[in-house]
Amino acid sequence: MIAPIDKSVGETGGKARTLHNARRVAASVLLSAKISNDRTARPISTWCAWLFAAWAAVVTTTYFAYMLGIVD
Amino acid sequence: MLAQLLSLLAILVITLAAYGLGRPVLRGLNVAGEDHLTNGVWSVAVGLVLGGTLLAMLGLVGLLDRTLIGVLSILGCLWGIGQIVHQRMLATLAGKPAPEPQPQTAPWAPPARWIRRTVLILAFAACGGSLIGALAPTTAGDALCYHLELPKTFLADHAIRFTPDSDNSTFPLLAEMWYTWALALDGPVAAGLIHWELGVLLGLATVLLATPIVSRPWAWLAGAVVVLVPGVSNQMTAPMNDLAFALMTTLSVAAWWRAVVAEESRGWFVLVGIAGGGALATKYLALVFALAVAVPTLWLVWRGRPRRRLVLQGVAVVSIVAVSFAGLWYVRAARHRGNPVYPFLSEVFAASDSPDRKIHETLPESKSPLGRNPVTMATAPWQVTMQPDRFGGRGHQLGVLFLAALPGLAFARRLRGLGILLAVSVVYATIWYLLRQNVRFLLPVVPMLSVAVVWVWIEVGRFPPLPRVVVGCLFGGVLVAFSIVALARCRDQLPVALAFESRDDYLSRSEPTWRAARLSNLIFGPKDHLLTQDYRAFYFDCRVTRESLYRRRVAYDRSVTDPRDFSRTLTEAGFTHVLLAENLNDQGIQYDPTLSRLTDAQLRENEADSMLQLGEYQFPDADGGLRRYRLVMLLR
Repeated sequence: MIAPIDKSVGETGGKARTLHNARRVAASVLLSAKISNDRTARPISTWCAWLFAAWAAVVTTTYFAYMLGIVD
Repeated sequence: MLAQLLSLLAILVITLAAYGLGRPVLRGLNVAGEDHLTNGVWSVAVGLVLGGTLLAMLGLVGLLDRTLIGVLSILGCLWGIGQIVHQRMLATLAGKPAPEPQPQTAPWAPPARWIRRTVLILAFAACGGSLIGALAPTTAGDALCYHLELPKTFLADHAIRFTPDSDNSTFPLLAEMWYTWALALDGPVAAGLIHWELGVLLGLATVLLATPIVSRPWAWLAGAVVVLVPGVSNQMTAPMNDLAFALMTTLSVAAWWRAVVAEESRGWFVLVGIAGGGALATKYLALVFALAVAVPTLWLVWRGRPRRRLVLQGVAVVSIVAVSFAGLWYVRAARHRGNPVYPFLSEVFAASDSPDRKIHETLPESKSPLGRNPVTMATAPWQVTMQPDRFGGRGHQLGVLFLAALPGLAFARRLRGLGILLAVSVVYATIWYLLRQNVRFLLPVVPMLSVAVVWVWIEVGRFPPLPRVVVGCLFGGVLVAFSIVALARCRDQLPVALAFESRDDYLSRSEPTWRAARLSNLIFGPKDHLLTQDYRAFYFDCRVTRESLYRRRVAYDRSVTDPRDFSRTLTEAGFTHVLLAENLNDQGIQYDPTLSRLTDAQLRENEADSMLQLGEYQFPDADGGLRRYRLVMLLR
């Protein structure tokens, strides 16, 4: 079997570490949460999640509109 | 820069002395085996309550002396350092590792390291911004009116005396005792730094409150959310008493949770009593908070027989301890005013023909912008968030995070212990709505709601990726904005905080009464007596009486039938000079013109041997008002 090519071999240590950290941050934000032992942690339905996100967006936008004087 | 360093040194001495007072209490109650954070926060908080109460007792017996306070502070500070060194030595000799927080038993993962670091950095930045504000001499109206003015008077008199012309002089004054402590060691900047420190302690107390519920890693985020609340970071720049009150209520709930919900050591009940007594000794509002805690407590008692006896015993212990610390303020108010909660409940305690009934309504319409009906009650969270100007001002607002995040509890799982905090918050907020709708009175529920916000944050981890990113960006953006506001707010104080501008120059351009105070202090001594139209009195070295309150008590203006007798009327009452503050526009606070009208009437009579105008200037105030200030000496 041919071992997979390690793409970091050709890069410098500092740059590789930065890239690695950036990949970890992006993965922790974008991929599904891994709640380690939480067996009751079922994913929340998409519509519920978007409803909450919409609420948060509307409230936050309205608030900043009031604070910046755009709305009286 | 030396002045700033001395102010910081004064705070360090007070903190170490408080730690030295509080640490043995924790040890004696057998709750001292906790981690450093728990020991540190509780030791300082308990020590502050003990120290403030001790100063109050010294004041009531006429022993409030700067030298005595200084000596006791140094001794307390050395004792506190000794406590720390002793603990370290014992731990080293026993070979024990440093105590760790309770082990992580939460089933959910801790926050990502970059999230935790980012939020904590934002919180540090907000604390840094408010520290800049606290290092500047205060110009906050309430602080100059009574939070610092009363301690100044107490130190000058060497006693806590009753002042009939000050409604605030019979309030619970524990926070003012801490300011007395700071004024004795340094000055008003040290007093401001005390309130800044109380804000930091509030954030740390939130960590203690949240730890048994969401685990320590997430609890740090709850603490960070608290110090990022605009009202909290703003209050950290001025010596008021709302953060002191919120700190004591948070600690009392945290200790109560440990005693009743987690059923840990009975010593926690004593700590509930000390913190609850501290809250009662800071603001009357603590009586409302006690009622808010009593409701879920009664539910626990009704619900479960095994806990019933524990709770009833705990209530007895808490009541006895709390009354021991706070009772003296209520007894003092009852003695001088005939009303232990003066000026509130005048309808109950005042005589039927007393003017207090009309002047001091407990539920005035002007203090309830929303009115009192089911519709406005339902919309109150929206209105308070979007239009805080109507509820005491933008500076005291709670921000948007709670309104945006808390509806997320609808999809969140039930979390043990959180329901109790929410029940206390809802009951307190309901009573707030029914009594006085000022947004800074909601600060006690901020830590409890922050725990709920963090739980929603944890549960957002169960979202699909894209909505999770959207919500994360929104929450993150709000926290970044609050941090920027806390930093930007204090840019005007940056030069004086870093000693590039002198305190005198800063006050000359920022505080309306400073020039008059400087002139008064040059000409008059501490034993002279000023009658002033402006409510800000702290920077005057002499005794100061507010003209509106004096006139309300003695109606001196009605006894002046001849304008030429006006000066004699005041000098016979003991006044040596007057400060006139006349409104030149219709913005801001409009002072009653009686004093300036009578003074001008006498000056028009060309009575040069009765009054002498010493100085005059105009000043644009922060509330938009433009005023003309005149300092006038009374000659006969």
